Amino acid sequence: MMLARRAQLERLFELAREGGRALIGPTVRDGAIVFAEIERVEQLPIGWRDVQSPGKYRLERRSDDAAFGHVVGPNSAKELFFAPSETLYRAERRPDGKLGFTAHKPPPTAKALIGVRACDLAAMRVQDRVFERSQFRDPQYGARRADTVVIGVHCTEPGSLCFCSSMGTGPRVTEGADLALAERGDELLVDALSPRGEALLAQLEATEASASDHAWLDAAMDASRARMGTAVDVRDLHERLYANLDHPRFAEVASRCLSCSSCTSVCPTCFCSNAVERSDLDGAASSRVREWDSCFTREHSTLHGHAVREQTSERYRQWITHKFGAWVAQFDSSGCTGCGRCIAWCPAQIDVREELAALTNNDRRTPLPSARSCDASQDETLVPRVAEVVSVARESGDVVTLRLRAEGFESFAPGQFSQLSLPAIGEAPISISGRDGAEVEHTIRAVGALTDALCKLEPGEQLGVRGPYGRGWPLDELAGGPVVVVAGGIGLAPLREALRRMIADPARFTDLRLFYGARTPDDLLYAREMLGWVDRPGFRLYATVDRASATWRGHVGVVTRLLKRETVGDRARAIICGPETMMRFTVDALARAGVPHDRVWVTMERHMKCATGLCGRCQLGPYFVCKDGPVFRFDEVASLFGRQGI
Amino acid sequence: MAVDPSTLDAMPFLRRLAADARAELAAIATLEEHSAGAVLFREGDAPGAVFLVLEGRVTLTMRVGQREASVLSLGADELVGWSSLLARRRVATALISQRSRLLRIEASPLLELCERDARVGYAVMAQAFEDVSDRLVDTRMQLLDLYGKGASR
Ligand SMILES: Cc1cc2nc3c(=O)[nH]c(=O)nc-3n(C[C@H](O)[C@H](O)[C@H](O)COP(=O)(O)OP(=O)(O)OC[C@H]3O[C@@H](n4cnc5c(N)ncnc54)[C@H](O)[C@@H]3O)c2cc1C
Ligand code: SF4
Ligand code: FES
Repeated sequence: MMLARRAQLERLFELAREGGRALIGPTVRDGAIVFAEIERVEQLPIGWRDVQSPGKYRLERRSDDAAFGHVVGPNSAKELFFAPSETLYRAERRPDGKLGFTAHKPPPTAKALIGVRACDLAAMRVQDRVFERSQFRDPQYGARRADTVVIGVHCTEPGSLCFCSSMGTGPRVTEGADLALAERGDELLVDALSPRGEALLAQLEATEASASDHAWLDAAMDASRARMGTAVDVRDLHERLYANLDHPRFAEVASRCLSCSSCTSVCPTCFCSNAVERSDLDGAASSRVREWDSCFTREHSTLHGHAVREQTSERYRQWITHKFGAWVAQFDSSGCTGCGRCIAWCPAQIDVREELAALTNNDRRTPLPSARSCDASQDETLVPRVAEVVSVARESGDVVTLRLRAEGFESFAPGQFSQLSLPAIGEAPISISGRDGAEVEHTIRAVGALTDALCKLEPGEQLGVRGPYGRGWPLDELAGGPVVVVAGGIGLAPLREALRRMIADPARFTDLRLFYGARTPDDLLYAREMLGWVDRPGFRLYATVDRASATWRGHVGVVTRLLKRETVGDRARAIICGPETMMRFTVDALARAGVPHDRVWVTMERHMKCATGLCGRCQLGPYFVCKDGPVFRFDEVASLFGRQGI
Repeated sequence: MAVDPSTLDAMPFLRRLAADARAELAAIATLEEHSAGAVLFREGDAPGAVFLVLEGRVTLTMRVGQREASVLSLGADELVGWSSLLARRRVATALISQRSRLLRIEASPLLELCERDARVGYAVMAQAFEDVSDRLVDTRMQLLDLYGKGASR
C-alpha cells in the first residue's frame, strides 16, 4: 500500500483518461449522487454525504471536504455495460421480399471508473457471471465491459442502509478493481490490485505506507463493519427462502408493495430485459431493441394472455426468491450485494432486510439444485439467420406446419426449440417438430400477432430463425424399456421428431405407446403420418378427443382415461407435453400405475425473449426454462409444478 | 340367460367379491354382443339396465340443438348407464362405436341384490362412485378446454 496526497487525484484523473478513455465517477446531479462521466476532480461530490433511510434519500453538506464521503446513489456501473436500451440488430426487407439481419455493434468506448464501492464491484462480478460466463455470452456486454480501468474506494463511512458486510462483499475493496483508494483527510491510501493498477500507482507521487497506515485502514474497516452489524442472516438463505414459498408474509408485504419496479431498476445486478420491435417510418426496416425490464411488471410473465405472476405477492416472491435464492443455483452467488438501494428508493419504504428476516422466521429448508458450472460459453448475438419457407402444410383450422430451409440445425435434438421471427412483428419460441436434412419443420398455432403472421407465410417467403435451443428429450435414457408418450393438443409437435426416431429404431424401442388427446377430431395433428405409424412393430397409438360428433368412432374423453385403461407397467418411462393441467393429471395417473417421478419427463412453458438465459424472462424457480429446459425430469420441477404464481 | 360366474372375473372390482356373491350377480347378468352403430339406450329413456364393458367401445352422446355430440367413450372394465341405479332417466345415448361384448344387468334385480347382500351392494356402489368421481374430474378437464385458444400449449 502507498500513501499519497489527495491532490494526486488530479494526476490519477489524467492517467485514467489517457488514450481518450471516458472517466466515470460519482458526481452531484439533481439532488443525488450519480455515476456519470466527469473530467475534473472538482466534479466529485466534494463535501457531500447522502443520507438514506427506507424510502428516503437526500444530500447533506459534510463538515469536511471529503470527496468520497458518501455511499451509493440511484445508479450504478450496470448501465455502462448492460445498456438500459440497446439495438440488438436491424432487419431489412428488400424490395424483392428477401430479408437481411445486421448485428448492431456498440461503439467501442474505453472507460475508466473511479470511486466504485466494494458492493458495486461485487455487482459487476455478478453481472460478468451472468453475461460473460454463462452458457451463452452476450457480446454487446462484453464489448462495453472490455478493457475498463476500475478504481475502487474503501467505505470507511457506510450508509445506514448498507449491509455489504452481511453479504460478504464489502466494505473493503479486495478484488475487481485495478486500484483501491481510502481517503483520510487530505491523504489517500492506495493499493494496486492488478498489474495495470501497479502501473498506474507507479506514476503517482506516493510513498510506501507505514505499519500504522495499514493498522489505520484495518481499524477503519472493522469500525465500518461494526456500524453495519449483521443485518441479514445469509446462512442457507436460499434454502430457507425456498422452504417458505407459502409464507403469509408475502401477502403482507404485497399489501404495501406498489409493484412499481423501483427496486429492480436501481438494483446493480438485476438483468431482466425485454425485447421489442421498432419499425422505421417507411416500414422497410426495423430494429430489435433490448430494454431493461422488471419482474414486477405484468408483461414479464405473460403467457397466452395471462400473467403467470398476476399478484403482487407473487411478483415480490419472484424478486426476493430469485435475488437471494435461485441466483445461487443459477450463478453460484447471491444476486444481492448489500448496497441498500432497493430500500432507499422504495416509495413504500419496504426494507428487504426486514422482509428476509420475517420470511425465514423458522428452521425450514428446501434444497436447491447446486450451481451449474459452465466451462465453455458461446457468443450469442441474438441475431436471427434467414430461413426460407419450402412448404406449408395445414394441420387444422389454426395450425400449420412450416417446412423451412435453414442452416444450423445439424445437431438438433428432438424437444429443442427455435426462435422464429418476422421483422416489425416479433419473435417467439416454437418447438422444432421435425428435421429432414437441411429442412426443419415447425408446427405453429395462430394465437396472436406473430403466430398469425407465421401461419400466413407462403413458400418462398423468408423469416428469421435462431436456435436450436434448450434441452431435448432423453432418448437414450428411454431406450430399452417400455416408453409411454403422452401428448395434448399442439404438445404433439415437440414430440413428433422423437416419435419418428423411436419408431424408426424398434430394436431399442420395443414397446412404444403414444397417448394423444386433442380438442376435436379435426384438431388431431399429423393424422396421416400417424396412420402410417400404426402398423410399425412395437408401436401403439391411442388418440382421444374432448368432443366430437356422433359419427366419430374413436375415443372421446381426456387422455388420462386412456392411460388408466392400459397396463403401463412400473418399468415404463414416460415423456409428456401438453398444457400444465393435463401434465399434472398425467403424472398422477402414471404414479398410480407405478411410474415414479424420476422416470417421467415434462416440458415447461414460460414467457421467453432471449432463449439463452440472458433475459431472465423464463424463470421457473432455480431454472431457466430456455436453457435448463424446456424438458425437465419431473422430480426436478415437482415442487414448483402447478403452483400458482411461480 | 345367466352368465358363467367366471365371466365376472374380467372385471377387477368383481374379482374381489367372494365366490357366492359373484354367483348371485352372475345369475342376474346376461352377456350381449353388439356391432358398431347399435344403440344401447337413448337420452331420455326410462331407467333400465346397467352395462359393464368386457370388450369394445361404447360412446355416450348428447343432443345439442339439432346435432348429437359425443361426450365420452367407455371401454373395457367400465360401467355404462349408472344413472339407472338411481332410477333416473337416461342422461345420454349409449352408442356402440366399436364391436363390443357387454354384461347387462337390469337395474331393479341389481338394486334388490345390493339391498340383500351388502357385499355386492358395497362393491357395486364403490365402483359406481369411483367411476362417477373419475368422470367428474374428466368432465372438468374437458370443460376447461385445455387445448383451446388462450390455453397453454
Ligand atoms: C419452449 C416453447 C416451445 C413452444 N413451442 C410451440 C410450438 O411448437 N407451436 C406453437 O404454436 N407454439 C409454441 N409455443 C408457444 C408460442 O411461443 C406462443 O404461442 C407465442 O409466443 C405467441 O406469440 P404471438 O405473438 O403470436 O402471441 P401474442 O399473445 O400476441 O404475443 C405473445 C408475446 O409473448 C411472448 N411470448 C414468449 N413466450 C411465450 C409463450 N411461451 N407463450 C406466449 N407468449 C410468449 C412473445 O414474445 C410474443 O410476442 C412454445 C412456447 C415455448 C416456451
Ligand atoms: S418493493 Fe418497493 S420498490 Fe420494489 S416494487 Fe415493491 S414498492 Fe416498488
Ligand atoms: S432467460 Fe431469456 S428466455 Fe430464458
